Amino acid sequence: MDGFGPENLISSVEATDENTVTITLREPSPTFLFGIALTPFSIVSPAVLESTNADDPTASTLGTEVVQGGTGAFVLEDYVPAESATLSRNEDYHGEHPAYLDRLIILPYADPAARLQALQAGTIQGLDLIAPADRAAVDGVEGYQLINRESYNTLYLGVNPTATEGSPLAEQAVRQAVSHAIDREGLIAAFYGGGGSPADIFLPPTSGWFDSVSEGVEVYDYDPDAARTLLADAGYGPENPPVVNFWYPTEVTRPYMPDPAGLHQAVTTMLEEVGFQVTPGSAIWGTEYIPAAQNGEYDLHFLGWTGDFDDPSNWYGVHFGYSQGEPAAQFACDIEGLEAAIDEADAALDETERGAAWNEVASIIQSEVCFATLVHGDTGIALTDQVQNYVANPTGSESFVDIWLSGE
Amino acid sequence: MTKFILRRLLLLIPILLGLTLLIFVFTRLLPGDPAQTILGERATPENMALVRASLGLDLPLSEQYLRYMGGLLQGDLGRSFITNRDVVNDFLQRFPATIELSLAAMFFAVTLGIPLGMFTAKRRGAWLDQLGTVVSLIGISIPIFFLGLMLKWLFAIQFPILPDSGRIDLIDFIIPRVTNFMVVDTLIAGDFEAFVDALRHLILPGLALGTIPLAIVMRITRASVIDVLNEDYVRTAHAKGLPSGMVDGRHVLRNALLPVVTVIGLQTGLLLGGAILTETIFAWGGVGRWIYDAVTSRDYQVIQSGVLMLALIFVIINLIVDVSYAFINPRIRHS
Repeated sequence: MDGFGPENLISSVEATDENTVTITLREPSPTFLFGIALTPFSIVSPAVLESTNADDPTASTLGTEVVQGGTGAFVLEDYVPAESATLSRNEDYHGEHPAYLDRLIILPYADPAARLQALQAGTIQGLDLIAPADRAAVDGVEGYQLINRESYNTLYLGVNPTATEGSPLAEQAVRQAVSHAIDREGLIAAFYGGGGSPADIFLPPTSGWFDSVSEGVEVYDYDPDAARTLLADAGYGPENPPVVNFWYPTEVTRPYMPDPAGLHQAVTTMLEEVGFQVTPGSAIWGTEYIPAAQNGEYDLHFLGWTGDFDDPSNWYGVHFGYSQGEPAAQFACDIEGLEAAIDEADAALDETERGAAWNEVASIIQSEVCFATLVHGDTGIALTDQVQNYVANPTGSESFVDIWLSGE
Repeated sequence: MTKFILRRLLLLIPILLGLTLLIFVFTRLLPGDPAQTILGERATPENMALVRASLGLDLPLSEQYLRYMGGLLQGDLGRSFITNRDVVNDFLQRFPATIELSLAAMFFAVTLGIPLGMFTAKRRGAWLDQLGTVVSLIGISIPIFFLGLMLKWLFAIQFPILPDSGRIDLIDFIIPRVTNFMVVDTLIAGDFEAFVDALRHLILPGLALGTIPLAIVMRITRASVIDVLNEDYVRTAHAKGLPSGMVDGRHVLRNALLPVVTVIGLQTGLLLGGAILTETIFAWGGVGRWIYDAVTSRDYQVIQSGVLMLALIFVIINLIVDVSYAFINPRIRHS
C-alpha cells in the first residue's frame, strides 16, 4: 500500500451507500484486491477505532479487550488470555445463512503432545497443525479424521556467497552442487509424515501461477554424483573441501519446518556426503536468527515462507526485490538483469504477460541458485468424526460457517 | 512480634529497589531485540527503528530505567511489548490460576507427605521405611513433563475419569470471571456442578506438580520426627501412659514441624513462581508460561514487572513462614 504518506496507493475511500465502499487508487495495482482480503486490512468500524483510542499505539486498547464491531459469522463473546477465546454465532450474519455451530471455543496448547491428548480425551473436537509424528495417531483411526491441507509454503536453504570472505559459494557450480546434494523426498518422508512435495521452484503447486511461472525453469534433482562432479570441476576435492557454515533456528517450529534441528542434521549429512565440510550453528529464532539471516550473516541457513496471497510478487518480489539498487542482504543475489526483470513482472497487469515475466524472474534465480528450494510442507487438521464439512484452504483462511457436528 | 513484622516489611524497600535494578540490567543484557520479535520475518531496518522508538527503546538505558521506576511508583507496571496489554491486568488474570495450581499441589504434598513421613519415621529401618525412601526418590527424580503426560494418558484417556486439561469444561459451564480463581468464581456464580468440575480439573495437574514437594516434605518430616522421637520428653510422655496418638500429635509432630514448615513455605514460594512445564502440559494459563514466553520474546516490560511481583510475593511468604514459627514454638514467641 506504500505507507500512509503521499505515496499511499489509495487516493480516496468513500461509503457510496449502506453496502458499498468505493476505493480509488492512484494507479492500477494487480495485487490490491489480494491485499485488502488480508485480515490486517479489514475494514474496521470507526466507532471501534475511536472507542479503543487506536490512533495512539502506546495507549490504545485495540486488540487487548473484547470489543464488538465486526460483521463475520461469529462474534467474540469472551476472551481470557492464555486460556480461551469463545465465539458465538452471529444471528445477523450477511452470508447465505448463519453458522450452524452455536459456539466456537479456541484453546491454546503450546505442546503438540498435550494438544493430541486433548483431542483423544474429548476436550477438543479438532486441532490444527498436527505434528507430523502424530499423524499416525489419527490417520485411519476409528473416531478420527485427518484432513490434509495442501501447502502454500516453502522451506528453502538460503545460500549467501558473501557472508564469508572467500566463500566457495561465490561459484555458481558450488551453489548448484548444494542443490543437487539434497534428497528432498527423503526429508519429506522423515520429517513431514509423508505430507508434502519437493519444491522444484519457490512457488508451490497450489498456486494458480505455478504452471506459467515454472515452465522451463531449471530443476535440481537429487543427484549426489552430479554434485561431486560440479565440486570437482570447481577445484574442490577430499584434500580441499569447500567449507561452509550452516545455521538453523531454535525455539521454533513452522508449518514448512517442523523439526529444524532434525532437518539440519539430515541436510548436513547430505552435504558432507558429496564433499562439503560443514560448520553447524544455531540461534534463537525471533531474537537472533532472523536478524542475522536477513543481514546475510550465514553461508547457509534454513528459512521459509507461507504465502499471504496468490501472486508471485508475494514470493519472489518480497524476497529478491531490490531496495535503492541493492539486492536483499539475506541472499546477496546480485545478478545482472534481475532487478529489471522483477520490476517488469511486478508492473505487468495482463495475466499472461505477468506469468511470463515472473517466469523470467524464476529462471534467473533458479539458474544462479540464489537459494535452494526444498519442501512444500503440507499441514494437517485432526478432527473427531463428529465434525462435518471442514474444508481446508492452502492459505489457512478457512470458514467455519458450514461446519456442523453430527451425533448430538 | 509487631516490631519484628514491621522491621521485615521495612526491609522490603531496599530489597525491591535492588531487585528492580538487577532485573532491568538482566533484561537489557539478554541478546536479541524485542522489535525483531514483534516484526518477525517481515522486519526491515526502518520498521525496526520505528518500533524501537515507539517502545522507548531508543532512549539511553538510564532514562529507560527512570521512566520505568517513575511508572512503578505510580502503580503503572507498563504494557506488554508484544500484546500491548497492561502488565498488572495480565498478572492479576493469570496469578490466581497459579495460586490455585500451587495450593492443589501443596495440598497433596502436605496431606500425604506429613503422614507418610511420620509413618516411615516410626518404622525406621523396616521394609516399609525403605519402600517409602524408594518411592520418595522416584517422586523427586521423575520429570514432571513425563509424569503429567502419563497421568493424563491413564486417567483422562485410557480410563477417562478425570479431565485432561484446562481449568473448567467450557462447553458445559459459562462462568463469569470475578476473582479469576475458578473454584471461587463457580461458588460466586452459585453453580455447584461447576465448582465440582473446577476441583476435578485441579486433580491431575496438582498431582503432577505436587509429586516433588510431596517427596521433599515426606523426607524432611521423616528426618525431623526421628530426631524428636529420641527426645526425653517423648519418652516421658509415653511413660506417663499418654495414648500414642496424643504423644504423636501434641509432642512429636508439633516439635518436628518447624523444619517442615520452612520447607512448605519455600516450596510454596517456588511453585508460585510458576510451573512452566505443568502449565504447558495441562494448558493452564498461569504466570510460569507467561514469563517464559516473555523471556523468549524479549518482552522487557513483562519480564521486569512480572519477576518483580513474584519476588515480592516470595518475600512476603517467607515473612509469613517466619511469623508462623512463633505460633508453633512458644519459645520463639516469648523470646
